[in-house]
Amino acid sequence: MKRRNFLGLAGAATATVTATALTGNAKASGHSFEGYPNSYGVLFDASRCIGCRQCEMGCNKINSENKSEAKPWINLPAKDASVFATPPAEDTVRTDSTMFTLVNKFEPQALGGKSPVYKKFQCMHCKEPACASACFVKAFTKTPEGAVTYNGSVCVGCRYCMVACPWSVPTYQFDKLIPYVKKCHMCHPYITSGKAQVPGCVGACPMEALVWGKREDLVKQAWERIGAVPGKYLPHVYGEHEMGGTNWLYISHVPFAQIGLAEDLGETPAPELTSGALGLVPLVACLWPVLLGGIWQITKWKDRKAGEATQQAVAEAVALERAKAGK
Amino acid sequence: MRMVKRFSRSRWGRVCFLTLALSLASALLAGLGVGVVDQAKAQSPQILMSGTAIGGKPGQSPLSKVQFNHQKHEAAVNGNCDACHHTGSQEPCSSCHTSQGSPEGGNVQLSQAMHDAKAKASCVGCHYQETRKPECLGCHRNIAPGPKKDNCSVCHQDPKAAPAPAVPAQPDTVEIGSLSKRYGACTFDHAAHVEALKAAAKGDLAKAFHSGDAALCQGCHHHTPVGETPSKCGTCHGKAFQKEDPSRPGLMAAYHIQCNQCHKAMGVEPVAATDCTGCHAPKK
Amino acid sequence: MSQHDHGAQPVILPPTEAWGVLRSLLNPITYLKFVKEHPILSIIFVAGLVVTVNRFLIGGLAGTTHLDNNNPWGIWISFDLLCGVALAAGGYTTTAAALIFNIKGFRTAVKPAILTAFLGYSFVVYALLYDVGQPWRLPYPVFVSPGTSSVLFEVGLCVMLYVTVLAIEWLPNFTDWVGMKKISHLIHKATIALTIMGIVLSTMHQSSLGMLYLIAPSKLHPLWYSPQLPLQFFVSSMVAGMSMVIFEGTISHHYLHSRMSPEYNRDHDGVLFGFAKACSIILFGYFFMKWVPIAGENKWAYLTDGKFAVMWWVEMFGFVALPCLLYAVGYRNKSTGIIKAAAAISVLGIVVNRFNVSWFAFNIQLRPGQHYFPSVQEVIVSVFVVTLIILCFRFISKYMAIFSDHPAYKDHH
Repeated sequence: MKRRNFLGLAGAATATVTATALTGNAKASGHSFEGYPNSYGVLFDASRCIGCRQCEMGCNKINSENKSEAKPWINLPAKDASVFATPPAEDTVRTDSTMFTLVNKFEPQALGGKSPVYKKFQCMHCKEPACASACFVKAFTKTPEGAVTYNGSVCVGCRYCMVACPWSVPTYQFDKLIPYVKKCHMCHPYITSGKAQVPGCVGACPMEALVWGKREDLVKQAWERIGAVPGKYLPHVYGEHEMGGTNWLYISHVPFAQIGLAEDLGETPAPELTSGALGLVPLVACLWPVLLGGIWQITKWKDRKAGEATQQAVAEAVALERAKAGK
Repeated sequence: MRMVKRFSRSRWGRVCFLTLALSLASALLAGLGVGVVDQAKAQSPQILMSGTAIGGKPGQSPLSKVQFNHQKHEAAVNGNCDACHHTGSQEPCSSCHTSQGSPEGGNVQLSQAMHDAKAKASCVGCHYQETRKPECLGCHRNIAPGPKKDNCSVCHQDPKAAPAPAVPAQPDTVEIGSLSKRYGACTFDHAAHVEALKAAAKGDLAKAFHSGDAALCQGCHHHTPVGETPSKCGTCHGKAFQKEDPSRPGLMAAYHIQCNQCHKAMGVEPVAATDCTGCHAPKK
Repeated sequence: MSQHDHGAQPVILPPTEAWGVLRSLLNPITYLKFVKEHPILSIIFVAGLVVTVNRFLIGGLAGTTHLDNNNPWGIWISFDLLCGVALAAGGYTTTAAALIFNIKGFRTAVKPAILTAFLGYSFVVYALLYDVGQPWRLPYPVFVSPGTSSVLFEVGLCVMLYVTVLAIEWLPNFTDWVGMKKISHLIHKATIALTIMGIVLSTMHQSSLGMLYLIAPSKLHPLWYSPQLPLQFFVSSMVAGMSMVIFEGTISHHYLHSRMSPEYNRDHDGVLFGFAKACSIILFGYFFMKWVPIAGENKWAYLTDGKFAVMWWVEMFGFVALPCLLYAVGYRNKSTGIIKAAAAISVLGIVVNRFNVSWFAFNIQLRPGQHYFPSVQEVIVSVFVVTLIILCFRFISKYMAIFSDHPAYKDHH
């Protein structure tokens, strides 16, 4: 092979490998991350919620009264108390960019379809969030305190986080010309700065349907509540294992699917769903140049050999003719 | 032989003998009949359960037999024997449900047959179903079924033995206002609630298990020994989410959970749970 | 072999006149002339501009699209990104055939394929400017805050690099035209390296587009969701590229015949037959590949369950098996007509497949009233983008040596 071609080939391989060296996140062998210890979470008890929407008001209050100039994505437009007077009419309503949480009313079949059960919808603050894995500018962070926070200062607005989230939590400011993602942040900025002890929703609930505590303690407490009155709750803590575990847990006296919590999500954390395939990408970057270079070389060699064979055949034919003519 | 011969000579003698014989026979039959009927009635008033096999817990004296009032239970199920005698025949439970369990009894031991909270034919199970009624559910919504750890004697005890504890003095109304911030104090009609609970718990089943009216206090004033004057709720219920007892609600939640959930369970909602001002007026 | 082994060498303007043409682009009269000659295209153009102004200065995404919090991605992703990238795959397949596998008859097909790919990818990036919320931040994933765990990062990085590679590969067409010999010469030296890089990058991002949907198993219908989705996307992209080269070649023959050299015409049918054979074989493998996750994950029950089953069968038989058969028959009978039909069906099939994965069989957990349908403005933008591609293609082919060899640089090719 000519030196120039070899250098070109090596250059291509190196360039490709270097360029994609940042790519891929194959799981580090032998390690598994069990979650940050002492991370906080919230336990929601569906049998306690009365649908008063004080939590929504508390959330709106804390996020509209502590407006941040540097982080406009954690601000909410202030809403009057009358907005929260009655629950939203249908259970198809979801959060939008003016709210981080929403309480929906359900009339589950398990209770005959007539008694209401209420469920609060907000970010689940997964242990291994899909949004953080999906974001190509690392705009989402799973904090050691438990909250999954969003940093709008790098957000490009691709909205892949909205596709990735199993609960479709993130909302987007489609109506703004400089839009951001809006999502519950478990009042992380307020708690870490000391402005609040518990998230706005938790502090506002008159029924303590929302309990604040360390995730391990909440799981224990949830099972204790389930065991204390047998037959009252479903023997399942939603969020204990779903999508690898979430920091927002639910216990309920009616089947979770009947209060709008999907039960078909599985226990695989979202990042694991793509890390395997993504890990193969650098291998392609390493092996393809070798393969393609090899094929190119082989075809070149074949052509050369064919050319030589042709030349030899022509030379033999010419010699034969000359010999004939010479005779 | 001679006497029979002499009687049979005269017509009057024959009549007298026949009358005497018939009367004696019918008296005998009537006596027998009465005896049989008497035996059937004898089952009704009380049956002592063969419960002396129970030794009680280590350190505990053996438990008494349970005084089971069959008559009252017959009336309660409207004569439907199958409610308890679930095989259709009125054999005693222990004929299939032996103390070690037997195949005829589905391998259900006698103790399980009596105490299983999920079975409808067991004592505990049927009673638990009764507590699901609205008039009982207010207090019983959070009380697990079955005998509590130290409470076997509620059933295994001669009901005449212990006297009912006296009911402590009660207020007519209570001002609940220690937390007032957004709302003013709530005027709680204590007397009316006590009367309502007394009316709800006036049935035989309730009276059998409640040691007296004082037991009704436990529905709200839990963790207070029966008959004692209860402490303020705020004595134990303080700030929410305390490490010492994470399952203990804070004071605001304790009030709201108690009131709202009892009303909901009993189906008595004078004020909708979401109508805050219905119970306490807003502060200006 | 060729049906029209003819044609004169097309006229390529010398460099001085080339600059004149470029200067005329700055002259408004050029555009007035264009409007007069092409009224329909002009209407599309104006509509596109209006929507552009609305999107960036007035209504934002809410005022332009039907996107919402349940449906964050619409046809700008389904069509402009997914289909655009798949159909621009002709670049790497043709250069692989001509330069790596060294198949002689494909040499003349390289430049049109590179042009299609270059324009295709460039306008994918252009369409993304409309779709993302803060398009001025598009360089962020590579230069500011890389999120390397993200599949989208890999897509973005590879597409960025590949657009660069394509631009460099295409540049000689321009520099030949305007007389910048040295640059052309330099780039030609790096041809193999660029080609290999292009194939590697294409493999990675074509499969990564399928990988995007792996993270949402609860949202994609089981008949399409499988861990093999990336592989399926990559294999189908090869067919997409080759079919698009045939399809685009057919259309170009109709409108740009005067720009085609005798060499190009001579090779043209050979390219068709070669690609037909390859596509037929690949589609055959792809057909069976799509059954593997059905069998392996025991999804048989879904094959007879409602409208999604119908969609799957239609995709498999109408748009995979049928073109496979047509390509094979066309190759065997040496019928360019059948091959062209197969190419058109394949192109449509790629669109159907990408639409199924990203739109029709996606977000199945939503209730009936929550599903997405594109707005008129979204469709206008997509049509606008395709129109721009066609216009650029036409302009470049009309003046530069795409379907012919540049007279001054014959020895390079």
